[in-house]
Amino acid sequence: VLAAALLLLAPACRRESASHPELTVEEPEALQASIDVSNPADEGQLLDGFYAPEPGGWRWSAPQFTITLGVPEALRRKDARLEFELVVPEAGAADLAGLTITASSNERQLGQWRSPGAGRHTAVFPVPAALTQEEALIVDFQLDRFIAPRGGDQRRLGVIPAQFRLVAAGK
Amino acid sequence: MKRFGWRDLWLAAPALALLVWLDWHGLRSWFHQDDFAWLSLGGRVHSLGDLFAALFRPAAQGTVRVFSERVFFLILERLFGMDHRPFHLVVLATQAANLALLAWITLRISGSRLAAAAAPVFWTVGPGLAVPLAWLSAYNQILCGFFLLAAFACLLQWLETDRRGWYAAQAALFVLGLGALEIMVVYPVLATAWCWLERRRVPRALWWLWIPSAVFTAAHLLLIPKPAAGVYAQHWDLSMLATYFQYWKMAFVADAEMAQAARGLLPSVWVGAVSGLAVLGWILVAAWKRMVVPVFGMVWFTVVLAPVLPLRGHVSYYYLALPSIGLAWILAAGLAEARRRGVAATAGALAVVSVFAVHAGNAHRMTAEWRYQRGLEARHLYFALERAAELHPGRVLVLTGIGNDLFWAAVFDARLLFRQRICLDPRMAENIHAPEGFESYSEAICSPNEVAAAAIEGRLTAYRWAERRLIACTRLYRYRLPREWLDAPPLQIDTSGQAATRWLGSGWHQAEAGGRWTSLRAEATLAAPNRAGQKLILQGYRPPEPGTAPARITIRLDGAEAARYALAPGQAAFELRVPLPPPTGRPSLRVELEVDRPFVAAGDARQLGVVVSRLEVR
Repeated sequence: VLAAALLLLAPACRRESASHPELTVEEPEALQASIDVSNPADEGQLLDGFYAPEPGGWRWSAPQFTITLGVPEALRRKDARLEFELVVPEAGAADLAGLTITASSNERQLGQWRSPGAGRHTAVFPVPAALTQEEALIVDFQLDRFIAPRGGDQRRLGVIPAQFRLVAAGK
Repeated sequence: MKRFGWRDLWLAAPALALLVWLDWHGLRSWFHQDDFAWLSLGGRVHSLGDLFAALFRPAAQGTVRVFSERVFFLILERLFGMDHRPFHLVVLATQAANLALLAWITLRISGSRLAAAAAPVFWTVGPGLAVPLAWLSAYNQILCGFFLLAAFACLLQWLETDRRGWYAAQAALFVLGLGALEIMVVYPVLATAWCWLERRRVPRALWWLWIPSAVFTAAHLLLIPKPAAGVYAQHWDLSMLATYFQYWKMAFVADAEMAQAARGLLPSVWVGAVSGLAVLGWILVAAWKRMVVPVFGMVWFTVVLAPVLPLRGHVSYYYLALPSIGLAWILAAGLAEARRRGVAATAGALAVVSVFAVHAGNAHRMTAEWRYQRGLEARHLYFALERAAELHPGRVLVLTGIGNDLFWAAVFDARLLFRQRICLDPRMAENIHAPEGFESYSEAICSPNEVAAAAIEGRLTAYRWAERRLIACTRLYRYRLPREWLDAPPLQIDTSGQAATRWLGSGWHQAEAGGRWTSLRAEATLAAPNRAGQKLILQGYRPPEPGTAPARITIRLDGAEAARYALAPGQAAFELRVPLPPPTGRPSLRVELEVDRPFVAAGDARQLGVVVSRLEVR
């Protein structure tokens, strides 16, 4: 009787599973050619090697990190330039003295940039036309130095990335 | 025997209140582990034949628990979907009935209201019930408890009133109980033991109950294959004694692992050991003085535990759920006897049972909490997967960041509830450890071939599990796919697809809808078999040619002839299955196909063999 009653009640009781959009974080569909690391809207293009935002929205990078940038139609199959704005913090200047950043994409090195010291800088890397054929460009960055873990912070810290921009080569 | 009136229902109330407190989290645990496999049953029922298979086809370890697993999950899933609360309500209602039955039975057999109130409390507080109350797949223990206790209550009524109706009810409950859990098979032993202990004679009608037990046991032993190795291997030897002793230790939470985990107010394995020894002393005294209830409690514990004693590799706390009813009678009878003997004896007995209750209750609550947390994690991952499947229909969902516990709690069985392929990244396999004796979990892990094919064909979506969310990482995942995966030959080729071109050698014409024509000879390269017993599946088509002999196809593997087939006359579509040699370590398999005579199509000058739509190593 109980089973029959339950079966009769079925259409009234059964709930369709509610969708839970908060349980997945999707990749952005349209990629920007220029991203701001402190802008939450651009977070989806910081693929790997970025620590959680600090108060104020800025982030530390790890010694290796990866980003993706959209390749606008105007830059497709043309030589381009990657501009990377970063801060080498005063607090880590000793650890990062002589820092060199190597950028590469698809196992192809884009170039190296040597830091002149603490402060805000723009590192520039050439991007050959062979890498601008697709709608997205993925770039790996490798630091040859990092700020070693100290105190309660066990993270290996790199630099403070601020912006990445893909622009025309001659710009 | 003391009568049980409606007013005596309060005797079960303390135990029920204790259960709600101890299992507050356990009774809210979400689905996990095997629950998903049972929940997926409903999705496979499309006809009466399917329903029959869902209800009666032997499942894990050859069990057919119709009521406690099949009907329980089929009906409630059909009614309430993935809402776990109605399932737990059924569990709670059944256990409330069990506690009332236990109180009723204890009052009848002991004549003590104190014992009748205490026995359900001692049963509830024990560590054995924590898992069955929290994990829905273990409802079989709770439902079997109902059938055991209800049948035993009918036995007592029958013995007192001599009315056949009670005997029939007992027999019906016993037979129905076989559909809840195999352990029910021991009921006739319990009934016989009670009659002999209580009245030194066994009514003749009771022996009839042994027949269903004998038939069920014989069917179980003869029809269901028993694993020779692994955790479910049976060991009918002296190790059963050691296992029996181990269960006694576990009943008092005196085994080192649980005692360590449950440390709290009373922090030591010795607490369990001391209360265990005190109870052992009481059982010896009771046996010496021929006290029926504690001795029957000992018999119950032993007999109900007996069917799992050969499983020395699978000693589990939840196997104590039903034997613990016997322990509850031992403790309750001891408390009632101490009360009759005066204040000092009562104080001593209270000290022992209090120590037991606090220590065991601590372990019980901790187990329930652990199950709750496991369910919570499973719930997040399941709904995240549901969302991902909704956003990316038809794509292969590859997961990373899944640890061993979560894999077993929420991936291995849960993926059965989804239409699309969900699997772990092949590199995650090293984090996964199958329980000993577990057949295989490889189907839940994608092969490099499968990932590469999905990536090349744009059917891949990758997610990383972090902070209880699935974070899409397809771009990075594809970017970092090992080159050797992408370069490896595939396990299957759909010949009309773009990706196929790379793996088709000489002898193929242009792709058409549904396949490609071969010439009289054609070659393709596939991944070599990666395990013994695999086959090459070749699906194709050749239009019928009335009045001519069937065309013949020869298949060569790495240059050696492997099979010859004559296409059936008048049958256009075909599927050939060629047994493959065992793996040799070579990465690829060269397949050659030769047709003995061309197909002539009016107006088509090409040399045509057959249309091949798909080649697959399976």
